[in-house]
Amino acid sequence: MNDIALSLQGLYKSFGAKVAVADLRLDVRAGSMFGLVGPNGAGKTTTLSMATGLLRPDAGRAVVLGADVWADPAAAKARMGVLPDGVRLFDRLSGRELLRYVGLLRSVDPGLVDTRSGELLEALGLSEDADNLVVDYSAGMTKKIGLACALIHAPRLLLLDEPLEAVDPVSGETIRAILRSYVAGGGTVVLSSHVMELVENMCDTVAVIAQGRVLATGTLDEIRAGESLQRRFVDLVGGKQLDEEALSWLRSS
Amino acid sequence: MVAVLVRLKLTLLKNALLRSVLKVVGLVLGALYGLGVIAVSYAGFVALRAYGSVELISGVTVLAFSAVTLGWVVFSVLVSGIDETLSPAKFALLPVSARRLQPGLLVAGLLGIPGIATTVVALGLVVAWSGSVAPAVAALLAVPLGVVTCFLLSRLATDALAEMLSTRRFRDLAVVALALSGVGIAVGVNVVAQGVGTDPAAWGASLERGAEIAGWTPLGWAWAVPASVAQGQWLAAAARLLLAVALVVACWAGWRHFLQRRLTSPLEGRSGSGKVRPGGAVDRLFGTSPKGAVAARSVRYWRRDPRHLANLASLVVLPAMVVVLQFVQPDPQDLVIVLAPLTISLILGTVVAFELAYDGSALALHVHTGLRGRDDRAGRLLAVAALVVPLLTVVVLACVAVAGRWDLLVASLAMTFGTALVVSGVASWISVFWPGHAPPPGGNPFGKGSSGGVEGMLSFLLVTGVSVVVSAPVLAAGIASLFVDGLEWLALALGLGIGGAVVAGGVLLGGRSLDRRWPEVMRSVTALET
Repeated sequence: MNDIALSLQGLYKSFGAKVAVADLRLDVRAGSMFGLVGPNGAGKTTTLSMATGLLRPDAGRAVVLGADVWADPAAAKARMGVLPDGVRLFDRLSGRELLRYVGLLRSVDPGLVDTRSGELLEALGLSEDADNLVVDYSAGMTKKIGLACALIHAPRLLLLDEPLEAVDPVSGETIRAILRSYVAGGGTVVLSSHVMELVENMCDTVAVIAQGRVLATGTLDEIRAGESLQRRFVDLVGGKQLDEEALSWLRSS
Repeated sequence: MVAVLVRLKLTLLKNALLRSVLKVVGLVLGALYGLGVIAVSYAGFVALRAYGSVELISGVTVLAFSAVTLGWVVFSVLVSGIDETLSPAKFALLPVSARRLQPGLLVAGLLGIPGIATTVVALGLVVAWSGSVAPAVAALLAVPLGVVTCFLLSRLATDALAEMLSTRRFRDLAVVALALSGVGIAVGVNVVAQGVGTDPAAWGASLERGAEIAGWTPLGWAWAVPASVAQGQWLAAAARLLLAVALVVACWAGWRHFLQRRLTSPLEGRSGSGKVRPGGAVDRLFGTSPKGAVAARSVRYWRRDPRHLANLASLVVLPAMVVVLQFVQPDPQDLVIVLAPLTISLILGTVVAFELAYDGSALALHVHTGLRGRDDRAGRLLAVAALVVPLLTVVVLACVAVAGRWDLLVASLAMTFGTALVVSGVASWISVFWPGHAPPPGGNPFGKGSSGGVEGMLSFLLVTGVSVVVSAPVLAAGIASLFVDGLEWLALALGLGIGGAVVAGGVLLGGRSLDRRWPEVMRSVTALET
């Protein structure tokens, strides 16, 4: 039964007249690195919010490793680690204090919290700034400490919203390595991004969503169908060609 | 530029109103209140014009308008906050200078209920002086000066304080300044009240004296110009006009200074920087349970977040005002002094209730980690207890000592702590339903909504109402103990019993509601974030 790590069953959400997510269905196999791609406003963050308990769906279910997020939130939330996007952290804490806070909230043994947070800070290159307030971190550092928060209780499913945004290439490589070894060890990662290169390099399974619906889902190779993911994505979503004369005033020379 | 900013402000207002019924209700109530104030004051102006002597008109208008000016400053700092719809930080990326923004921000800032009401009421000054030509002309000149002074002084005060609160060095100083300003006002009010006295015959003379004094303070320079003209004191009139203009110019420059600062370095991000010491007593104090972790985090925020500090200061302002007010009176009432700590208990509700709103979207962490609602509620109460129990104890002891009524110690302790417990418990529960919203941390701690908006007001009234009813037995026993010896022990037992039960109930009920309402709470507390 736990072959499926995350199952989204007919999720639906509207804000007033605007339908953000409409009957979204998705199954993520355990042990996969799953990429969620879509244009701006496709409903990626809304979907992830509904899967993590932040936003109540109008209809549908989200099931994490057998536990319904909205019927049995405690069990579901214990099994996943989340890196949300566009959400503040408790940024008046230092990085170390924040990690400890998250660990204790998740009832991880205090001794374990200390060793794990030391290792995470070291791995993500945050050791030097561990005692600085998170509010003073750069955007990339904030992403990294957020990722560390998602990892500290060793969850079996990771939901990451734009995990590499604003992260420098060196740390980016570290994060990729961490995620790869996490999946190799049996964990499942669901990440959203609009960086096709990242998804193409990292993920084995991909879903393309636009206007709150799943346009295509399958293994990376199925979706690519011999072309680059970028090309296929633009085809699926319906890109528009820039007119020769458009924005001509921008060419100042 | 002025038209652009005014249009922007109106568009933002319209969009905000379209999204929230509560905002519409708030606006309508505010408008009704404003209309009431305008109606009453115009009735007064017309009566003055018809029956008042020059001395009476001078006395009333100068004192009243000086009070209005002071009110602008005090209210914007302590109560309502300033309108941050057009926060200067939002213009930081645009190629506009403070100099170009200023006129537009002034007009847009006055375009609200307080601004419009003040302007309309101020125009009543012309009505009051319309008996002869020269004072009326002077009044027409004084009105814009006075209204602009109101606005600029309130901006300057909040900007300066916000600036102080956002730097570590001056943070504590600013908190003390805030607390002292409350005391200062209390003393001022009392001195005026004493000057007037209770003898009606002395009224006229004191009114004149008060107006004369107020008219020579920055608060009254502009407003007193027509009065000087009417009394034929041309030299004084010229001096006051000159001073009023100079004040506006100085405030304008001062405001520009702060605007420039916020345009180039928004408050956000500069606040609370620096290394912190790892580990520490706070962690050991609260243990390692989720509940304890929440408490430790809350305590750290009390120390590091300017908004919490401003809140803490306001806790002390009210009792200090009550006590000082008694002291400058000829015969201080011991009882009032002894009961003053009770005011802390009553405002404590807002402190507990705003905790969720202050967290803003960071609260998502509590949702993601599956923190049980009751651990959240209990942890925050533990943190409040760690700060407020010592504070209340000290304040109660101080008040009892000052009044010299050690026989009332137990009664005072019983009522203060009993009510504090009840209020905390009730607020823990009710705030889950109306968490309100607050400006984000690092935003202007005096920004609008720093007191929760209409929703915050509603929850405050509800919390206070319910708490007073629930703690009635404690208060009754406490007051009865003044007449019947030994009842204070009953009050203490009732206070701890009822209070303890309400806290337990508030944590359990509030926790259960929170477990069910996380998404709704999230939506409410993130309302101001973009």
